[in-house]
Amino acid sequence: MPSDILKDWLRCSWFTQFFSDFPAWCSTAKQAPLFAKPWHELLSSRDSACLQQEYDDLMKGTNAEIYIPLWASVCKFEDGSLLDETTLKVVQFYHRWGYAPVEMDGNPPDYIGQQTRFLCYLYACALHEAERGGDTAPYLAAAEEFTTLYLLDTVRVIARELRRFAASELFSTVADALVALVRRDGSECLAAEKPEVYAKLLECYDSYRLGRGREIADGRQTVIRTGGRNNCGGKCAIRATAQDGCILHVETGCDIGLPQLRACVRGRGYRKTYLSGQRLRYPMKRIGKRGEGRFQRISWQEAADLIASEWVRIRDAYGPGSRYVNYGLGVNAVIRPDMLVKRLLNQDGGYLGFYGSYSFACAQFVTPYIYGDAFSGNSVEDLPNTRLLILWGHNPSETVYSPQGNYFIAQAKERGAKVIVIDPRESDTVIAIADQWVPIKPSTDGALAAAMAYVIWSEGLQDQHFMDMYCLGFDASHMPDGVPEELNYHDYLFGRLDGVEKTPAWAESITGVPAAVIEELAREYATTKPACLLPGLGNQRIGNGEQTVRAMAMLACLTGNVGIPGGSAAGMGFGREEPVPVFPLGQSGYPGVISCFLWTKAIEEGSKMTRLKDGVQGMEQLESDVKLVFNLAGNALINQHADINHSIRVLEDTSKCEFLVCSDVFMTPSAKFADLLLPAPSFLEDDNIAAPWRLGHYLLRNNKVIAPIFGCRTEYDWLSDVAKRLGLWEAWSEGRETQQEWLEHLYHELRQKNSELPDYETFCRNGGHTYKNAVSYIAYADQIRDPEHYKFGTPSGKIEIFSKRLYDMNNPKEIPAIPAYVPCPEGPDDPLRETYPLQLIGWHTKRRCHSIHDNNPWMEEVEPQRMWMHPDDARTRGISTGDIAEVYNDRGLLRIPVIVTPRVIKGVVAIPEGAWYTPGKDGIDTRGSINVLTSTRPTPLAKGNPQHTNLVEVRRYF
Amino acid sequence: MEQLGFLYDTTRCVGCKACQVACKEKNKLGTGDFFRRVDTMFDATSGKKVHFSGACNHCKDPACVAVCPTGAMYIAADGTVQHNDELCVGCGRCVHHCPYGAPSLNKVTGYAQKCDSCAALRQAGQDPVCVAACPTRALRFGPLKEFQGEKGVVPSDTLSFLPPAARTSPSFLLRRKTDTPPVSAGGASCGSPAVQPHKEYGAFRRDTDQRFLILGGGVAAVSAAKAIRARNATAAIRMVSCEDRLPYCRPMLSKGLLGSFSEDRYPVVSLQWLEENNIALTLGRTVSTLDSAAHTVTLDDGTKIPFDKCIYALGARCFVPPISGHEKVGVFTLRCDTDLRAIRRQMLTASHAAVIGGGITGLELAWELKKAGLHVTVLEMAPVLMGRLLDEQSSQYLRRCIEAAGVDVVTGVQIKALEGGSAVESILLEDGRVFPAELVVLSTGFRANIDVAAQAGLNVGRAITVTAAMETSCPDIYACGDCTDRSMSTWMQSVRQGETAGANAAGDTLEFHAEPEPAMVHTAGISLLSIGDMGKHPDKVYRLVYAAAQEDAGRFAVNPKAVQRQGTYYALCFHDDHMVGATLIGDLGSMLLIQDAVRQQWSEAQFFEAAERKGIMIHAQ
Repeated sequence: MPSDILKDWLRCSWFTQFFSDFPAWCSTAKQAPLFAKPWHELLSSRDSACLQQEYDDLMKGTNAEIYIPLWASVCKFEDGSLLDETTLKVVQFYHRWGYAPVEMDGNPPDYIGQQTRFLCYLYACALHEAERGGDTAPYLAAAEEFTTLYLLDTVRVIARELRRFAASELFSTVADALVALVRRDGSECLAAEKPEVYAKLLECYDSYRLGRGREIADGRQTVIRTGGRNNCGGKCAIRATAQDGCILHVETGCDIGLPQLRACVRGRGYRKTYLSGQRLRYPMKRIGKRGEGRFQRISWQEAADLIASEWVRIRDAYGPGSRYVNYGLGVNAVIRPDMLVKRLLNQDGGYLGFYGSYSFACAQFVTPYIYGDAFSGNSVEDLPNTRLLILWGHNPSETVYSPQGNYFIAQAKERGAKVIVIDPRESDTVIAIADQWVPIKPSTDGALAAAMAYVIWSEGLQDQHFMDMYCLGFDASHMPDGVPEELNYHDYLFGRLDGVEKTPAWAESITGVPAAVIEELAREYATTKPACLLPGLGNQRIGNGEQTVRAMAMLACLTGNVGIPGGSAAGMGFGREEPVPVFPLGQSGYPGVISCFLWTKAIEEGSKMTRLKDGVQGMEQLESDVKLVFNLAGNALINQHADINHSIRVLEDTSKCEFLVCSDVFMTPSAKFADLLLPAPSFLEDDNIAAPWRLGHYLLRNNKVIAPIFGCRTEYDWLSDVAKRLGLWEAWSEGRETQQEWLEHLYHELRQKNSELPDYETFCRNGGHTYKNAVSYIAYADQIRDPEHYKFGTPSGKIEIFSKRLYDMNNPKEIPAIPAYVPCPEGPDDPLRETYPLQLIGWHTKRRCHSIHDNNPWMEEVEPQRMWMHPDDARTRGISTGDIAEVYNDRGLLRIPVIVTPRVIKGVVAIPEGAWYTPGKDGIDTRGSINVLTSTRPTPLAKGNPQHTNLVEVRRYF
Repeated sequence: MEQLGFLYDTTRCVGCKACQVACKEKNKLGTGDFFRRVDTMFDATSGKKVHFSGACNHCKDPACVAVCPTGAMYIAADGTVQHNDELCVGCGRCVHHCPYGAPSLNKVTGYAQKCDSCAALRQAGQDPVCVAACPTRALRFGPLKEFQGEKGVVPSDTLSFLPPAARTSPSFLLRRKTDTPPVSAGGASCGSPAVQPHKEYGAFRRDTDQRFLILGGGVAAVSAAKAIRARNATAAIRMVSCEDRLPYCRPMLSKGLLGSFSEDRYPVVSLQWLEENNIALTLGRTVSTLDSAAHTVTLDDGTKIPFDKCIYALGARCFVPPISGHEKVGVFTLRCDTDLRAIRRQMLTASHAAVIGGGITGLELAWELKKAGLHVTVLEMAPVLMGRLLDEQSSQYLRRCIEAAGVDVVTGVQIKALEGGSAVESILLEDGRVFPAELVVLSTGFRANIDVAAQAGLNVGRAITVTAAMETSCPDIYACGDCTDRSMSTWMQSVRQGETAGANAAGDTLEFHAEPEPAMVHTAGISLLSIGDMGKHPDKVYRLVYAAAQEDAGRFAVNPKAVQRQGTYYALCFHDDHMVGATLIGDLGSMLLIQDAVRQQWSEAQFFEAAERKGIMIHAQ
């Protein structure tokens, strides 16, 4: 029936417009009678703005609840990713038939609109051929083949999802029409060689009036060396293979690093993570309630206008201190999005700054009280020099703290080093490398350390020379002036102050570690030299993590392991290795700085926050509440900050924080709360330079592999627009049009400091640089070797076991002057345990970098999101492996499947941190996002996050 | 050529799984497919938990090569075990027989797949990707001789959960700490591998100028053609198929293909293979008559083809029960590629689908339809699902799994009519219940295609009568596959029947004896394997033991399918304390253990002992 085919063809030509440009499609709606219902009837029920919104929700990802994949790559196979091999095959199909994809709103070339346009092109070619009396069969066969291989799958998925989500009849009709298009057999076209059909078709395909285009040559495969830039310990060197704008695979194969830097499991899955079809696509403005996840698409110009006007309004109404840039390390490179906006704010009066970190708040804050600075870590290649490695709450197998770290630990083991791991969990590190696992109750590390010190001192195993020479406050004869002598650490241990001797038996009752094990551990540590006590960071993310850090550093001093190869000073463990390029933030006009963990408080009652009470720095009291928040490349707004329900309550009230800008690559739990949500390119679509956190003699280049997809733009680009509107562009950019120019400039600055670096072009081409003349750093080696000339950075110039500065704070209960064990809020001694008997910790799993990669299905294979629970605890609650449990306390409730295993100690449950908060219909998290249960109570000194000290109860749900 | 293989240093591996994902990225494996997989296992030899990274071990005496019926699995010139997709028929024998669980069946193509030790990379002078990926350098690949000289290198079976090395001589060595010399569990020494030459395929040869005519284009026909060509290099071979495309993997029709169709990897033989083997293939023609006396066959276009030997492999067709309305638009059976394509298109407009018949095909198809977003109901006439195969509890367990995945199951139904206009709209039961369905698939069994045979005078009952040599009652005419009375309609049996028929037609002497093959179903995100007698003989007294695997106990399987929330379910059937049947639902990682147990009729104690030795933690319930 030729007339039916005519309809189909015209519908087909409509699709191409429909899926690429909805307004244009609407404007041609006079052809609408070809649909089952007249156009005006379809439109009448809803106004056009409403339809436009629905179109964007369905096709452009403006609604967090709706996700319709529109690309062959994602529709064809269950776990396809954007721009993969399927896309390349589609492109090559186009090429063979002389079809060049047209721009369709930044969509990949296997987009449904492009596919239907191609199909139409083939029909047009066939008709053209028919008119000339040629052979139409090849075109129709090609159309059939293309439909079978790609279009059918795409349409099936789209139609299914459209029917599921479409509210108005229009979009259901679209689904029907799409289905009708592909259900029809291409051979029917042969019967329809009617001139009027031909003419109509050519109207739509003017450019193909001349028939089939010339065959297009496929692009060449290229290999691009680049580097990861997540908030991972060492980043990783990546080789990406690309062809015709598709990324075929990523692998490690660069020669960066000595030994060669090899990506961990997360880096191996980059393509799968970042080229997910669930990427954010276009700039969007919030409609509906904040946090609801409903957005309206706007243009980049509108976005810049909106930021600029809110910027000025809030600045003028509340002052510069009402502006805050939230913690966000999704891009952890030389130029970070948060730095860019901070620099811009600094051109305009400044902003409320933050100090500290969600990772190591306590360690970073308190280590200078001991050693005078936080650079207490030895280079990672020093590890093989040790004879005893104590990984205290450290889990390098899973966290991959440095991509070379596990290599050097393996070397240490091969040279005969013994490895002891202290951890509430029998972690993968324990299984892999430990000679001994010392399970311990979370937050009681300080008690274990005190008892070890007690044993060492009792048995005379301490390095007395070291203590006498370098340390202050460890006994009555080495106390600072103006302080009662009896407050020294030795007297604390032996109970002269509180009548309690810190014996192994005392510690056993607190830590759960048998006294005999403690004695043995103490002796082994004191008598093996060099011994490396390497603390992880988990043990200081507790209610009073400062004390844990100090206790471990004290042990390192007591045994004389500071400043020597193969030893470790414990503490924060930053190193002084190669310099990295520094992006200049400029001077802030606003002096106030808060702990990064207290931002919800700054929104709620910032103007009441003070230096004494809340650890405000730079001023006694803040001037204003926070009203404007930039949350760029970060998920700490909801997911990674403590007490998600509290954060939601704070943010839902739009009278408190008035404007919230987020940029990200996915609709993360945080992104849903944006007022303005901007799509950012992934590392595969952007340039940068990245350095390891602290360990490793290399610098990585993050090279762009493909152009940004959809409407994604870098933060530098849209901030340029904002800066221009504010009249600050010249000052902010120093005249540099792109981030690329800045990177080159910063690199040149660095190169002047280190002539070993190659020229910029070579650096980029190689994907980074490995320092050949690298010097291993041994923390405090100078001070130990030559104490006359090199002093520690403390007021006394010595290692301060007793800190007069802390003593002067006059809060001995919470902040003792010595590394005493202080029971932690929500620790094992808390009376709250009667209600919530289980301690909950949230380890870093190998499958995620914090919350990144949670949406990667391959990572779910690596380690599904499960809670670990001891068999005894499970038995009393009638829970077995595979059950779904409800975990709850006063702050919240979540549901998560359970693994019952003796690999976690009794009384403790463990949920890996970073899973995306995913409330179900009843508002209860279904994914196991631990921060539903964590507390916003800051640590006493550093005002850091206590996210591993939580008391909970567990019950069986299903 | 020196034997190449992997050296896995257990002292260095930190269980980071970088190799696992690097391998998936390089080989473009889907979610749920692995060539290399890392698990945490319990090693009884040392009494410790260990991380274990396992892949194909490129054995010197590989079980997969020995059992491969087509030579798709082969030992390459460099001694590694490789797989040729073009020869693979997706029978899954390698999957069943590899003691390391290395091969698996690709969910989309149905072909066996496994680690090729990155042959292409190695040819380019690089390491396999897992080796290149390892951050601690725990994996190496190279000449085994070099590794054997190194300190602390021991055979693989010093890890208690790996099978005795003597079984297949894996090219896989371990490094362990030297201070605790481990004892080899299998008693094999890696220095003197017991190499047993595997059975050469087609040792019989007789080149003639005979004309072999094979009727049919299914796997039995292909296997027959291969068997003939392997024995006779010069004979003329012609196949006639009523379908218009190259022979393909029929069991896959009910698997992933409905969702994502990949034409380029669909056929089981390529045009190139046909050309190279000089096999003529007539497509799209049906056989009208067979004249057994004149040795000719007439096709529907009148073409007459003379032959010296004929192999009748016309297969079967779907049985369509005489339900009123079965001729309506939207009612399908699933037997061939055209059916699949039609269902794929119908699927686009339908929102409700019904599958009538809860057998293997029906259940798999139901799951594919469910995945495609349809509301699916399985209607089964019998009171339970797969009742002929499974015991009652297993059947109920399977049903719960399917229902939990969102597919409705109704058993004990009697269908009155398929209702609607020209197109089907609903199904009406005798008891008055109505199920809406715009897509109905009848999966109610098959009937052998015997019309041509009967007319030619061959002895037929419900199917063609054949001997163990696959001879029919007429000389020079052999039959194989689903059209014979020795067929159980499984892919593997068709392969072996085809082989037997082809070999005997070529002058060789081979016999086919049906032996129990495991039945496998992949549906609702779970896998089910059932083998042997699950208590179906009315005169015997059975004892059924149910057990479950503890998920966290560690398991070694390179290709576990999705594990149900409940873990893995076992039903073990004993007769006189000998295991005569077993059903496994969930993770099929221990399927080899199950098969050994049933084939060797182990006692209950033997079975649980063996399981523990292998690190599979199963607890009787």
